[in-house]
Amino acid sequence: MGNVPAKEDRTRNRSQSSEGEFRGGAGSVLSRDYYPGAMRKKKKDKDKEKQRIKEQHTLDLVVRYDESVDGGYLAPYGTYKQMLDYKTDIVRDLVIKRKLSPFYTPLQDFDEDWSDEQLLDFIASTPLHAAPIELDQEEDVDDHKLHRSLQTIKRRENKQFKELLRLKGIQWQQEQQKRFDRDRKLSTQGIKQFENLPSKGLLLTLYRDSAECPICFLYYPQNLNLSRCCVQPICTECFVQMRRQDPHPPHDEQGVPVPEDQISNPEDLISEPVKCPFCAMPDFGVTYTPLGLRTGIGGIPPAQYRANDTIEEEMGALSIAGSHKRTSSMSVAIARSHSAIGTPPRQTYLDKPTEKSAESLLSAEPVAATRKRRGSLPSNAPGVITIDAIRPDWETKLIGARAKLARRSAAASAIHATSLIIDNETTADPHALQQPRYGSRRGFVSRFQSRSDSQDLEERMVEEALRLSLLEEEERRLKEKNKS
Amino acid sequence: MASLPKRIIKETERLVSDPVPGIKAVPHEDNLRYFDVLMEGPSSSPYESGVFKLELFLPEDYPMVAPKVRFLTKIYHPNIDRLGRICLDVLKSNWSPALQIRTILLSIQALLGAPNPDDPLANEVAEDWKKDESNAIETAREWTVRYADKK
Repeated sequence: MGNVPAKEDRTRNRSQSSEGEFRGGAGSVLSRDYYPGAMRKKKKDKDKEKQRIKEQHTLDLVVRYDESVDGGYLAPYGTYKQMLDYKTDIVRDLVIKRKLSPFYTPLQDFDEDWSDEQLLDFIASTPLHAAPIELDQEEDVDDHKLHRSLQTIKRRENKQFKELLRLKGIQWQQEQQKRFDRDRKLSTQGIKQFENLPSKGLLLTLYRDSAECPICFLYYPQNLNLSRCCVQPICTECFVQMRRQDPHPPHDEQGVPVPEDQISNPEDLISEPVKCPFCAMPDFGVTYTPLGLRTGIGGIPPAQYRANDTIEEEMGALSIAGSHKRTSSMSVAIARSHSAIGTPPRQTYLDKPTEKSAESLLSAEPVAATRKRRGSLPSNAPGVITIDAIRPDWETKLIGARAKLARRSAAASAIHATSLIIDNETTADPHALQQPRYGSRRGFVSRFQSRSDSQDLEERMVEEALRLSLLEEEERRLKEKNKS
Repeated sequence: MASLPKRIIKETERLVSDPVPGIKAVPHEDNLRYFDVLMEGPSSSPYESGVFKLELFLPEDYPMVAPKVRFLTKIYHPNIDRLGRICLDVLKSNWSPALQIRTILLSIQALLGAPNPDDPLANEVAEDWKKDESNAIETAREWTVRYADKK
């Protein structure tokens, strides 16, 4: 995972993983019943923290017109409604650093013969974010349960929280759209100018030669990400949709999965890096070469961009004089962001990466300029962003899945062992039939006290308990490691 | 239902404007994610005289997950079972979002021309195929005449 940006570079200090909270499993039941008060409180805090992380994630998925990088945004347009659980902080950071193409507003249609006015009209008719989907109210199986267990209640709470968050997300996006529409209106009427609204020149420069993403078939500015292996274009929105398959049993040679109930060894579960969608090369990754223009975060205000700047800027990438000019325009931007005191909190936290990315980009610029026609790159080459880099939680998921399988097979073998003993009992001792077989717990144990196999059983149970606690410890340590 | 993604609209348009030879895929009017497919058996295969019906459905997550495809016409093939389910890697673990309806249907047509009894879905058919290939091919031909439409 050499491509994950160093921790201190991250814009926000957030704990890494929120996965595994819905994992039911025997372990969580135990923990709720047996944890003493202090630990229960700790668990409550942990739940709160998880909710906070989820809320931040939803906030991160809101497209804001004043959070732009080279005419694109930091959050996806909403072509895909699901599987948006990539690490938003990492992706936002990569976009700001110009290591991944920004989330440009996609055009549903494009025609080279459109006049500038037609093109601009079409762009203007596209919202910041796609319309949300209407969800069918799906039936809750828990409604049909006679007894509501703690698990049921917990599940319901989670569900309500999720639904509430979804609605909040929609509302946040609507507010941003309203603001965008209002500011654009005021701007076209000449009442007030907004620095963060893209200039016509910027939009034309970006979309004049739109290219189709081969996966979503939508049109984007030509500077799409390129697959590291076969140099095929892919938009960032499709890129963040890619993911590893859930941990699964290995396939045999013909690619047929071994049925799950035949897997006895949890260590057999595997998780493979994502393959390139175009050439099937394992460990899919992309590179990105930014356009010559620099607007938004780490660049000039999008409203100030003039089309003829591009030519200068593009030439600037090759000449020292040009980069000189860029530095000055950027220092203006930095100075401005420093003076922005009255801006909303969201804006202020973004100011920090502005400086940093400006610096890092200055040093990265010559590399980008010389890398015009590149060949295939290894996944650990500098500049390559892999799926594992934006979804680093696969390892935790794998360990979680293995632990779950281990617990399940342990429970199964424990039940198996117990039933064997009871069978022995009933055949060996005909009187046993007259006794209540599943009597009080104590009676059940004491009946075995004299037998030698009760010792066996005890030993096995202790061993099993040890093994499980080791597994959980391992899991906990990994989570800790990811967090720090 | 949510509005149809542009990708599905464009794929459908291109299937009409630039059809695949020997394959016809038409979406249902009331559900544009559901296609009726007609596929000609590939030439010099036991299926060459027939036209087979299939259904194809694009799940919500398409193209991030593979389309669901099934034969509706009964067919004697080691990689297609009684229910018409197809054992093909690109429909499962080897699906890629860069593949399309067009490419997946071509892959299925190719599977008809190249049965793989070593990776069977219909076990009995595969056994027959391995034991006596010419006899199995004859059965496949008979089934094609009996169940598939004439070309």
